[in-house]
This record gives sequence, structure tokens and C-alpha cells, in this order.
Amino acid sequence: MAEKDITRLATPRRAIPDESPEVGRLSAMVLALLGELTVTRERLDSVERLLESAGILRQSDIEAFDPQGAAAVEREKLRRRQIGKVMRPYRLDLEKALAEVQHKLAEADAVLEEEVTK
Amino acid sequence: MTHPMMPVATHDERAEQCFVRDLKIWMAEEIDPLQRKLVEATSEALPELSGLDIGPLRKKLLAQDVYRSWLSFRRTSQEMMWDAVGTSIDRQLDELTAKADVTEPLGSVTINPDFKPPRYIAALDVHMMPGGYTHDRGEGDIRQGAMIDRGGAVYMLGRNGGLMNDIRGHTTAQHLFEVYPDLEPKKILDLGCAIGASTVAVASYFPDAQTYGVDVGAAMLRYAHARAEHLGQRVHYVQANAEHTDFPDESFDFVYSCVLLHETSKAAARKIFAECHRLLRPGGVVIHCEVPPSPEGRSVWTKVLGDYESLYNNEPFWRGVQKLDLVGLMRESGFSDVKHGFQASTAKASRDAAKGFSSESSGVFRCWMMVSARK
Repeated sequence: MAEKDITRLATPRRAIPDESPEVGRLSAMVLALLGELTVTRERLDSVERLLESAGILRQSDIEAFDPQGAAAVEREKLRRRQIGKVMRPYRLDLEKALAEVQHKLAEADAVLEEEVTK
Repeated sequence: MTHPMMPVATHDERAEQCFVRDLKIWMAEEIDPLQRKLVEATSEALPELSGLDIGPLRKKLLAQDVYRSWLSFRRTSQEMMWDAVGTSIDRQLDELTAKADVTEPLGSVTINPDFKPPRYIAALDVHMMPGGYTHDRGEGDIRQGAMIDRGGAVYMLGRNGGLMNDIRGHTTAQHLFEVYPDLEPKKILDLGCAIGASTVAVASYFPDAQTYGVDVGAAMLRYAHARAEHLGQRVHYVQANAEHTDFPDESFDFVYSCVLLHETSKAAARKIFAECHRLLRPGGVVIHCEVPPSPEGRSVWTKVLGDYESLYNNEPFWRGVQKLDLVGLMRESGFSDVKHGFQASTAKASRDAAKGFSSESSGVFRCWMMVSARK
């Protein structure tokens, strides 16, 4: 029998009354995401400071950096991809709701068509 | 200051641990004042709450989605802390385990293979730390000790002596110097020593004494032993229940505990006091160091915080210990002239220090509550 991995979750873990498990999970995921973002931002900060102390660039170079042409296009793609990733659940729900409405409309049109052509 | 056994963090691990710490601080500083107003407003419509039962208020609070989120975020930050620390330790576990294998130790660690932890320890993972105090993978395992050491230092948010996490030990020694200046202990016992942060701090003032530490977890004690050895302190760690150890009657000059009582139970606290009396030789001194109650007393907000600790941070006795008549219990177990008060926190005890023991609490982390007596 494999050793039960008790190093991941403490027991007992009391349910918070009236909190839906979905919301609890989502909250934890949002905090984890915030943690990851903070770690990444801090790493970037380390890189910037090390480059500056090595005389490779200055913080002001970064502030003044404004990509043009192809670089600007690539930046925009990156931004849109990131927005699309985070907004995906909302978009999926919206698409689903829309599909239902369209299905109903199509049904109504079909009924109308039948009545008209009778 | 740190010590050689302390798990080290890479750049990103350090960032992650600091993030959790800062998330907790942000919650405490930015959210708690608002949540507190909400709690106070909610409680106004309710009759005065007495004792530990906040049932009617809890029900009203739980009907508010922002309160449920407060509980959830608070607990999640704690779970994230253990995850961050655990991941970092697992990366370096082989190195830490090798480092813990000290070839010519000054002290010792004695594991009892038949040891059964008391129910209040076995039933839940205290502080939401996965595996609790007793998780052990057997011979040579030190993981749970590393978790407590690194996690404890992150959790105390730098207010208990940083990575040494030993201000409680120094403050307990200061209490001894100040209130019982004539005692020159030759045999010392720390009950509920965990990874020995306080044990080593106290032992450092009495290099000629024999120092023992007792606790419930094997992996935790192996780590405590390694930690003490790397700090050059001779300590003997023993796996035992502080309610009834195997040491002979009247075999110690000084018995103390640091934040042990609130991790036990009402019945256990009584037994621990009696055990201290049994273990001390006449003239010996007992000191129990605990978290001071909130200076504002039993406000409704303090009760709500206590309710969170008990239910969602697996600290079932957190509120109960604050209601205990510690002085009365000490008297019941045979001690007279019991001292009860607050010792100002210090990172270095000294027989020449200014008076730091007072009947008034200066607040959590600024002081530690002391209950002490001479047999």
C-alpha cells in the first residue's frame, strides 16, 4: 500500500458554512495566482537591479522604452493573449448563453418557416 | 541571525514565503479593521455574549458573504505558507537529512517506538500544518522539524527573533534571573520543546547544566537534536508526554514550558502542572510562558479571532487556555507564592537587566505572559 501523503493537506479541514466549494476553490486559486505573479515580479526586479549594478542598463532606460513597429505588434499580441486567458471562463459562459438563445431563435424560425410554407 | 540546520530558500522560494507573510500582514492591516467594524455592527443587535459561546453572532456573521471570504482567505494564507515552506524543504530534504546526521554529538535524542501522542495532538493538525506535530517517516526523518522551524519563523513574521525564533526562551531566562536570581540550575527541563528554539536559548545561559527537552514528535525531536548540535549546545531530547514523563521524582532544578499550554487541553494542563511539581526538587523553579491575552480583554472582535483560531486554524484550546485560572491550578498542584504577570520580550537575558516583569501586559510580542513558582 502506498504511503498516504499527509504532507499536503492538514486535517481536519472544516467546511466554512454556506461557502460553496467552488468559490472556496476559486479564492484559493486566485491567491495562488497572486503569489506566482508576485514571485515573478520580484524575479524581474532582481534582474533589473543586477543589470543596473553591472552597468548594462539603467532603470530609466526601462521607463523610457517604448517599442515601435514589429516589437509593438508582438507586445499587443502578448497582451491580448493574456487578457483572453484570464477572461476565458467569462467568454465561455457568454458563448454558451448566446448559443442557447440562437438555438431558440433557430427553432422559432423553423416553426415560422413551416407555417408560412404550408 | 540563522543557524546551520535552517532550511535555506532560493530566490523564488524566499519571494514566495515573503509573499505569504506580506499577504498575512496586508490582511491584518487593511482588511481586519473593516471586518472588525462589520463584526461590531453585527453584534450590536445581539444580546451581550458571555463566555466562549459566540453561536448567535457566528450565525449572523456566516450569513454575510464577506465574512465567509474573510475566513477563507485567512485560512488559505496559512495553507499557502505550509505549501511554500514544504516545497522548499522537499527540494533540499536529502541535504538537510545528511546534515542532521551528526557524528560526535554533545547531546542525544531518545525516540520511544511505542509512544502514543495524546488525543488533543493526534486528532488534528495544529496550525493547519499538514502532518501536525507528530508526522514521522521513521529512522533519520527530520522533515516535520524543518517545517516547524522554517514555517514558525515565517509565521511569527519576524517578531520572535527572526530565523532563530527564540525570543520566548531568552524572555523565560530573563524571568528566572529577575524573579529567582539565586537559582543556579544544574538540571533543566523544557516541556513541549518542539524544535528546541527556546531550549537552546535557555541552555546557553547555563553551560554547565544538563538540559533536557521533551515533546511528542520523533521527526521534530531528531531535527531539534541536530539544530542544537550545530549551535554547539548540549541538549538531551526525549520523546514523551509532558503530562507524565519517565524522569524520577525531584530530579530537576528548573522546569519550564514555552507556549505549550495552549496546545494541550484543560485536563492536560492540570496534569502538566502536577508533573512539574513532581519533577522539581524542593527549592526548584517552574515557569510557564504563554501568549498574553489581548490587552483590550474579551472584546467581541477578540472572540471572533479566537473562534477562527479554534475552528479554522485547528487550535481547539486557544480560547480555553485564556479562561483557565492558571494561578489557582498551580496552587492546586502544590505550589504556593505563584507569580503571574508579563515579562518584557528580550533577545538577550541578563542578570543586570532593568526590571521587565510587570502586572500589566504591553501587548502580544512586546511581552510574554509568565506563571511561575518555587517548590
